[in-house]
Amino acid sequence: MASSSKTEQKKMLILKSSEEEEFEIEESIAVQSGTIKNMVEDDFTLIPLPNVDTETLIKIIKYMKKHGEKTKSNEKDIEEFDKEFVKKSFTELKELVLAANYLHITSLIDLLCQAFADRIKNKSVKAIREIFGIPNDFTPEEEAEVYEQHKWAHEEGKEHIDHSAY
Amino acid sequence: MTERLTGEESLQQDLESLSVSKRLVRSVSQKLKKKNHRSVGEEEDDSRGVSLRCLTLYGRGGGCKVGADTGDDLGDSCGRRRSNASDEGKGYNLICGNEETSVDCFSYGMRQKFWRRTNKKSLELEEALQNKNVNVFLPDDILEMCLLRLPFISLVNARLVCKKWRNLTMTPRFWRMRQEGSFQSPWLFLFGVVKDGYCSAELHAFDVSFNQWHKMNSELLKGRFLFSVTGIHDDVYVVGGCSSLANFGKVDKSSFKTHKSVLVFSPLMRTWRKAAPMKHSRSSPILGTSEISSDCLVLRNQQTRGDRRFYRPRVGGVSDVYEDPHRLSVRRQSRHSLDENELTYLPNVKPYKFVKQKNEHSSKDQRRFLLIAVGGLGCWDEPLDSAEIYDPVSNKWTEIQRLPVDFGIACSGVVCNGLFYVYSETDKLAAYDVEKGYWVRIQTSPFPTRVHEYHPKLICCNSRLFMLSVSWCEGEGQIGRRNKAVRKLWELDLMSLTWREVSIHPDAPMDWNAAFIADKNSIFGVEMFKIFGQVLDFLTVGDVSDAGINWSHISRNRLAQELDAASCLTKSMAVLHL
Repeated sequence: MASSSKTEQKKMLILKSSEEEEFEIEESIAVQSGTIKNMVEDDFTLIPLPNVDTETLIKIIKYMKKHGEKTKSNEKDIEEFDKEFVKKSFTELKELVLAANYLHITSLIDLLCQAFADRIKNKSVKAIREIFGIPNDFTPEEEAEVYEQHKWAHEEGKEHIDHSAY
Repeated sequence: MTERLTGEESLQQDLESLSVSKRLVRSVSQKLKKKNHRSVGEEEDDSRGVSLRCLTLYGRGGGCKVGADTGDDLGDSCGRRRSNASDEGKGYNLICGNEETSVDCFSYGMRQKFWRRTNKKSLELEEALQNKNVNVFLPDDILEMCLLRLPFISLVNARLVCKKWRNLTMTPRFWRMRQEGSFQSPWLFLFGVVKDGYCSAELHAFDVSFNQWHKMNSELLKGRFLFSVTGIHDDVYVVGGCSSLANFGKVDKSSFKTHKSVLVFSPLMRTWRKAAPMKHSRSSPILGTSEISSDCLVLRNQQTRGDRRFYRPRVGGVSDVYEDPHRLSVRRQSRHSLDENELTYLPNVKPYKFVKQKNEHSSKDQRRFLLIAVGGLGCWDEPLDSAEIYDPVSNKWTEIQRLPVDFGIACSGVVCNGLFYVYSETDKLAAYDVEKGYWVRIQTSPFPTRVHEYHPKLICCNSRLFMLSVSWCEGEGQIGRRNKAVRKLWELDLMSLTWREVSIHPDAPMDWNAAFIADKNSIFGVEMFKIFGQVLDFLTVGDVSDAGINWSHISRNRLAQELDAASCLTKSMAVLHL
């Protein structure tokens, strides 16, 4: 590729959100996204991302920047960053995971899916339905059947159950 | 009247040419217009075409499920959600009858949609006022990735959310992905507890990640005791055991029957099934599970087996290194000539073969395990030296070579690196080479001296062979003074065949039938004993990856309050990853 530079100046890319806002980012960091990587290989420098809104794109760029500078020494630091990164509302997490999926950033997808799992693991069934906006489509008999199947898992530990929907 | 009829006819044609959606729009706007002039409006509506439209419905074969009749029988159709919820149904519903009856015909979900359509504005406001997290809609593939990472208990809970969630989490593919992604954590299953004198059909499961005990009932196990258990994949195999004939349900060996049957429990599906029974009835058989390559095709018969054996004279005390880079170095001893004959010409020992697995999914997906059962006590409580091997794929038990002649009574066994090591009550160690199909004696440096009543337990952790053995602890500064018994963890160096003390278990060995089981890097131990009239239980775990293995207590006395002291004798433990 003619444009690959061997000079000190790092190659920059421009990412454009669905709201047409543009963000500059180093190519070496941006290619953590498989989607962006493919586009770069096809000689794109301006990368339109119509599926990602500005707010989400900013967060993703922040993530990629942090993970782009990963070394042996700052592993703990990055872990802390990740922990803080997922402290967001469910809606924000949803936007992020959809964007990460679209952008093919494997580590971020894993992080977000794990965050979802951690957030709902102690929640009651009702709370989960509320969060995801899922109506109960079981008949009372069906529900009783599923419940009965794994009654032993439900019996104890009621004190752990979290009924909040956030 | 004729005029009217033609009018209706033309209307009918009109209607038929309209698409359903248009009809819908028309009817909705009609509805809204006529909201306050219901009776009048409907009358007109009727004359204009309700009856006609109903006729059309009949014509279409859909049947007018939405008559003007507001009877209770309409409620029944609510059960058939999807059939009524077609687009056609929607349209008709709005046209016929009044608002109340129309919504009654459809499922609750439909009613919601109907309301939403007509009351969109008010609903939006409502939603805005509610928690802003509603409707976090995730596409199925991402949802699946999230569900994969849930711990088992939460996953079971998730199945209650809706049908989609239940279906997503019940497929074999889902469980394989969980396994492969290492999203599982260990669960200990404790069997054989005795309550009020009866072998309760209870089994207790300990969730290591949540540090919690759960209780399950398994009627199938009622009355059975002294069986052995082991975990393979997602199932627990319950092998052999006894039942009292005189006092069914009690741990009573005055008159009993010994089983050869094998029961398999799946905690995932919460189901029991029967596997093929063993060739011999056994109580407390020594079990081992050996992983083999999934498309292993091995054919064995006695002749070839005989050819492979090496005859090496035993050189006192020094261990030979077996020159085979792919095998562990184990000393092979020349056999008693009687043994040889027995081996080669034993009529009952059939050659066994592993059938090549033909399965839909690639052989990489499932690891294959074989289950070995050795020894135990027979129908008359006689110690057995027979051995058999079970292949879950073919659901068949095949007899294998018996334990070496003067081996003694097997008391513990574990598979390590393709060898099934068995320890006897007389401190002998032998190993069965699963692939090659024969026993070898293993001569190690002197066995740790032990308190005779406590049978050592063999454990395999990360291809390392350990033994938990209770011995007398020399008093501090007082050499030769044996005043305290202590449980020690020893490791067998597989190259030099020497035992090395690795760690001391923190608890005094009160339970001579303590159950120990290994899982990846950890060794879990369950001890139950009666003291001061109370039955106590202790659950400890040791991490083998540390240089000096540290033991920690993870659960104390959460379990045994209601149990009988006899549970100590009958308990057995298996570990699964869920």
